[in-house]
Amino acid sequence: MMQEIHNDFSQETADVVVIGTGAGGAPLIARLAMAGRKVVALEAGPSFNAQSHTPDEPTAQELYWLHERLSGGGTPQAFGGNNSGTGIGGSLLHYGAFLPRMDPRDYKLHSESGKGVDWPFGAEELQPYVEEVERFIGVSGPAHYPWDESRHYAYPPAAPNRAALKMRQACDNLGLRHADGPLAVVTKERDQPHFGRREGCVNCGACHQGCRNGAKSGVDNTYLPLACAHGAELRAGCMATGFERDSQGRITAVIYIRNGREERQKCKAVVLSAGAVETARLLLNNGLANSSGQVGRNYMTHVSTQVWGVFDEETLPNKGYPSLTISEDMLRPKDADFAGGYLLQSLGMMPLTWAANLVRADGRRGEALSRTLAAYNYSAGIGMHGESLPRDENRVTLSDEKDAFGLPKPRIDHTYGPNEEAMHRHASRLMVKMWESIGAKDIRVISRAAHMIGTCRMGTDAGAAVVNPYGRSFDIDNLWISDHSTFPSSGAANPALTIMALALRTADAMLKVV
Amino acid sequence: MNRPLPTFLQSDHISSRTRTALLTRMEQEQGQREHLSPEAFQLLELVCDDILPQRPLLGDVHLNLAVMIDHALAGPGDGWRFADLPADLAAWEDGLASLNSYAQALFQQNYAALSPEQRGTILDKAFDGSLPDGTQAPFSTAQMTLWSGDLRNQIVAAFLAHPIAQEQLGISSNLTGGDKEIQGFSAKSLTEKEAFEPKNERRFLEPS
Repeated sequence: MMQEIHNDFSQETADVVVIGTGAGGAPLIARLAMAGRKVVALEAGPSFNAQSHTPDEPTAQELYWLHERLSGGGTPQAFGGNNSGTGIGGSLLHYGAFLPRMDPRDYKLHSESGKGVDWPFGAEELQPYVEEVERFIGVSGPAHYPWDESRHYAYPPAAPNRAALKMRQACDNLGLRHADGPLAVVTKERDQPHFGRREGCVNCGACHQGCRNGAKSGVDNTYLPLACAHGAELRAGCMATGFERDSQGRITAVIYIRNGREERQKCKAVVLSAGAVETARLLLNNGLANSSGQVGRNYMTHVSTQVWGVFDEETLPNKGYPSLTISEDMLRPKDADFAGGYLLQSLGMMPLTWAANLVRADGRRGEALSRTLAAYNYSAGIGMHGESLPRDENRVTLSDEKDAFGLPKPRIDHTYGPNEEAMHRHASRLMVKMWESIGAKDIRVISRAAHMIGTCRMGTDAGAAVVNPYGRSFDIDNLWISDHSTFPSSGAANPALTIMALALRTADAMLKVV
Repeated sequence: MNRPLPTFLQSDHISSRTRTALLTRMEQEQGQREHLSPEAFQLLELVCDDILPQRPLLGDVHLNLAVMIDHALAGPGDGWRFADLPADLAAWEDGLASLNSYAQALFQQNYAALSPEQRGTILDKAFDGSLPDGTQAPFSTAQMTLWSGDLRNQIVAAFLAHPIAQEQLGISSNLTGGDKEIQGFSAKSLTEKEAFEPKNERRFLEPS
């Protein structure tokens, strides 16, 4: 079920225009609309019908941001899947829905280790928002979370697939605690306010290709219907390209392209929720909000090494929630030679994604490759998400090439530093040992980075940050940013939950002035 | 020659949109080269078999992966490319031409004239960056490493996206549910197959 659009503010002055309808935009759009603000959300992509999502991986690429990015640096990142999306609902249409909370220690990494940076506030500041998001979207998880006894999840865990069971066994062998991970997936039917019935998860395994029955908690089936019910206008197919400003430099309208034509939406305030690459690109291309020189800098990812192995029995990696088992024991390993830490998760995977990771990282070819593909149904993996330190040279810039809109294509330079390399080695050793302990064969390590974080960092010093701790631009007082680009550091947790919590917090701050 | 239709395409566990996408792909795979130059395409056909021999997996059926790649190269792409490589179609022309350049540098013959072992050496060295630096070639050794990842990815992606490969390898990833009911997989079945899923017919056939 998709929300219906009732309002048309195109001839009016909106209180707020939000660019992007994903994790950063949607909760804020809903919050502002509920408080009576006239909100227009511009979404570059289309409005999808969830039931029409398809597990066919090439077709499901329609959920990815397909405007070409140029990937450079020493460890260039693969884009496409596993980072930016498009369409009403943003990247949450294809996200994995693994929803750990960011560890309180990760907000204070610099104080703890002298490396990275601290956030301008601690976990306790965001905690009420985190809990509110979890309550509102629907999250499943274990009755007892080993790393946080106070935590409660509303839905029972999803059914374990073979990869999840294998990781449990491997953790037991090595003395690591494990649990069913927190998932933004409802495991029982749910009546979602202003959306309707969401079915419980049916273990189809295609979270990354779009959830067809509403079990996955995105924003297309949670915050956006709420926003529409309170009068927000979601305008699909609108690619924001620029801004009009008054003599004081405040933004008075957003310029965007719809159906090949340039249009304008007048507004009193603007929120950028377009993601680490597009938010920075929009600012850089318009020469805005960059007196600090920080726009585009400190692009971060997660160290997301995977270890795969082959087992004697069928593992059926496409079936069931892909990454159910979690261990947070490595968030601060005792023998670490790096700052920060990492999460571990079990890995099933759809076949093309699995094979792409394999062949980009492993040199096998010929019969060895055929043999490996034939063993798809006997394969299972473990993966990690680990802290990636901010580095000045990892950044988003504008290239000399133009895209179909005539805008410079973004270039993203990404190179692992010593901390990321050390963490990759540590995690690889551990995950190989885990898989060896349960008799996996043909064990292989796949080095890769995932997610996108940073490029418009928040902070208290206008000379060193793009936005203040509430996401408000230091340079333009009616410009705000609500997405992962404001994260000062990456933390280890998958970013979606933190993005949504920050969005609500930014909305609350905006309501005092907008 | 028409391909036999994999039986899972008739299942009520597959949506009509997914079925249509797979049938369209089967048709497209039977098509012709449209975008790459004839020389590049011919070389690509050979490289596809060098990277991924199909006989052990599919027996007598041989999928035209080069055609599938040729068509994909003119499509919307996957949203990114290496900054150090040109746009996709040009990159593939350059990458394939470079295989000949490096084959000449190492073995004084074009790629197609080499023995399977020599061709393997070229592909391995391209992947791990150990081709001879300073060779006159469209791509540097570093570019060959980047492009090798794209090359291998496109080949396995084309193969695994084809319903015949899915059926032979027993892959049920497209059977997430039909139009009327999104059945998914039963919780009890996650560690073993349900009756509607294709069997693992060809875990691995030894080459004949």
